[in-house]
Amino acid sequence: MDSLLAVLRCAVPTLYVITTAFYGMVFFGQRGPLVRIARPLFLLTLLVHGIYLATFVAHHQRIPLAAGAEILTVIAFMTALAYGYVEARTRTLSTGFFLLGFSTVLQFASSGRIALELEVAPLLRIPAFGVHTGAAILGYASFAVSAIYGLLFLLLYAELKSSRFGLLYRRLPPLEILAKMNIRAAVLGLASLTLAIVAGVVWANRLHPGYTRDPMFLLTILVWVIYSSSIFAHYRLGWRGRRAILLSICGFLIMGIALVGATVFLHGFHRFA
Amino acid sequence: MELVIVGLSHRTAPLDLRERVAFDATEAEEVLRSMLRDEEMPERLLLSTCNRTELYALASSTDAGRARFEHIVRDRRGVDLRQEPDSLYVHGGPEMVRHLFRVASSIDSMIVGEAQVLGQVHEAYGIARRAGTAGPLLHRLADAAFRVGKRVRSETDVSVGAVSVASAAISLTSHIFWDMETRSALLIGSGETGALAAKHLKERGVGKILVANRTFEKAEALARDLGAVAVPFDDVERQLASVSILVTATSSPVPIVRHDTIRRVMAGRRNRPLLILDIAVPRDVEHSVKELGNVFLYDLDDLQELVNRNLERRRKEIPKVDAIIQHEIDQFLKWYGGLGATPVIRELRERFEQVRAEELEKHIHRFCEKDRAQVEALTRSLVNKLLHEPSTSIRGFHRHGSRALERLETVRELFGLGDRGKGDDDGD
Repeated sequence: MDSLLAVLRCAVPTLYVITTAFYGMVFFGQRGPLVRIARPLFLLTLLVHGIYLATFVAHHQRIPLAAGAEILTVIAFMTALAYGYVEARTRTLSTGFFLLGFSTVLQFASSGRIALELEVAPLLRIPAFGVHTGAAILGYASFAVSAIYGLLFLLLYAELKSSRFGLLYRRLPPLEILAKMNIRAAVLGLASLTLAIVAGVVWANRLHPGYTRDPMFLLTILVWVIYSSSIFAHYRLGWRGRRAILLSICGFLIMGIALVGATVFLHGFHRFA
Repeated sequence: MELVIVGLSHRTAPLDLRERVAFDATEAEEVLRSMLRDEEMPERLLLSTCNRTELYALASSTDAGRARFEHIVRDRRGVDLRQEPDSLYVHGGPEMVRHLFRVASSIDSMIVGEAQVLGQVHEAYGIARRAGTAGPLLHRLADAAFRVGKRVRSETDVSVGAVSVASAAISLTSHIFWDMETRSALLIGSGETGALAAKHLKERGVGKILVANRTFEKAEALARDLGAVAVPFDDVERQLASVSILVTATSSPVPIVRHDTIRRVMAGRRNRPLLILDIAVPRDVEHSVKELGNVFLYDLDDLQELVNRNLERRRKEIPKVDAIIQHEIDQFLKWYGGLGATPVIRELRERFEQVRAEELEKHIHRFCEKDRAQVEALTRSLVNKLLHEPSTSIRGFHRHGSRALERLETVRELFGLGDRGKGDDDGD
């Protein structure tokens, strides 16, 4: 099974690159039979990535969340999955280039660094702990999707406001769809992060009573507050467009800083006092 | 016989002349029928639209084609085209094919990429079929022209983007909003431009259209025509809280939609996006409204800019269209080149020779070494004798005028020559 995993580890990023290239052709306006391959290729990539993750779980008897490289491949998969939903819903392929491009970068980072055998903390082998990590990863992936759609919204918004009518105007789906995807992904991310925090607190209460001083915990709470405010402002205060999206992107940036900071300075997700 | 096109279009003739030489469908069919037994022009198709009147034909020469066209126009319309020599163009051979493909692909149209022309070519071909003047050559040519039209639309952006101010205005809605049937639009003004924009909105699927005018009766009359709802002018601000699109097209000398009004409206509608299309001159909406968040305001200059960009983009696609056209011309000419008697005879001989050689190979081992050369010579002689009479007949097909191509096609079909031999049904 090791050799199968090794093959899939190379095949998945390769497929992502090819798929993203085809979606790039769609975005930049290429037509013809070649472009029609994009969607089947995307479905194949999702399938192969799914097989890769399933093989990983079957081989290692655990979910792939023990190291940064493992988490990246799960985020890449979930981002692609979220994009698949958007594509099916909007019947437009034009944002695939950006979303799948993001998945490609993550998958390359993952495949390049992933270790076949890893010393795994016993905690990660407990299935119930997977609720905390799984929910957190889903939350991060959703926030990433939300941020990408938010960014595309801002770019299209700027083109529309300034009457420039450029490439983004021609190729992107309507502004309203981008806003909807931004907020829906943020809601899904917030729900997942809430679950991750609750599950994490339950575990930490038992094992690490000093968890409230953990920098990762504090940054996660900050991200949660920002996204909650953004979603509350959207639904309750009628914040629409640029202002609401800037707030959610701000939340994503803090989340990114937290993740990078945790990896670089803490060499892991948490440092409990 | 050669392929000929004779005609005039917006590129060569003024509107006045184009109007005078245009034929409707019934007249076109009559014209074609009146030439039914014309041996100098056995196949013909008349394409007549508001921008062109053209005769596509298989004719004895380009001069004969030109003379026929001038005669038709003089006879039916009383217009002597000999007095308008610059308005007429004549192309023969491959250039005729290119011209038809350019027309079908819409790059020869007044507005590059317009969608109607392919349908008009379709209609002209239907008329020629009904009139009995479309033979194997025009069948094949029309088929290729339709393929060019379809390919150009699916493989290039030559038809993409609105190219009139009204349609550009309406196209903006689909870049901001998603589900149009749940949207409503408010039109202020009851003039022709506003009515046209409202009509376009309805065609786009906008769920509800409201019409307001200082004179309520005028708003009611227009609303009736559009299947819309008239609202009092004083009620505009309240209505703006719920609509997604505002179209203003009044003749007011001063702006009637103020910055403060829209600011209040946006607060009331919880900042949901509002698209404002100001197609009035002078403008109906204060320009500073553009600065408000989630308000998308476009005036005539913006819309003209969008139209210009779309036209430019369409023009940039022309090289791609030309490549498609060249490919289809090559395909067509390959087929057309094979229609002469000589290629058919050559292919027929090759076919017989192939059968002879295959059969000989299968059975030659039954003969002793010294007999084999004789068997070889005998089979060759047999094939030559069998083909002598058909070859002579095929060489004489040209005497049958318009039927020659049909006969050659029949020979090809019977013996499976050319593409047919490879099982490639051309669909004719």
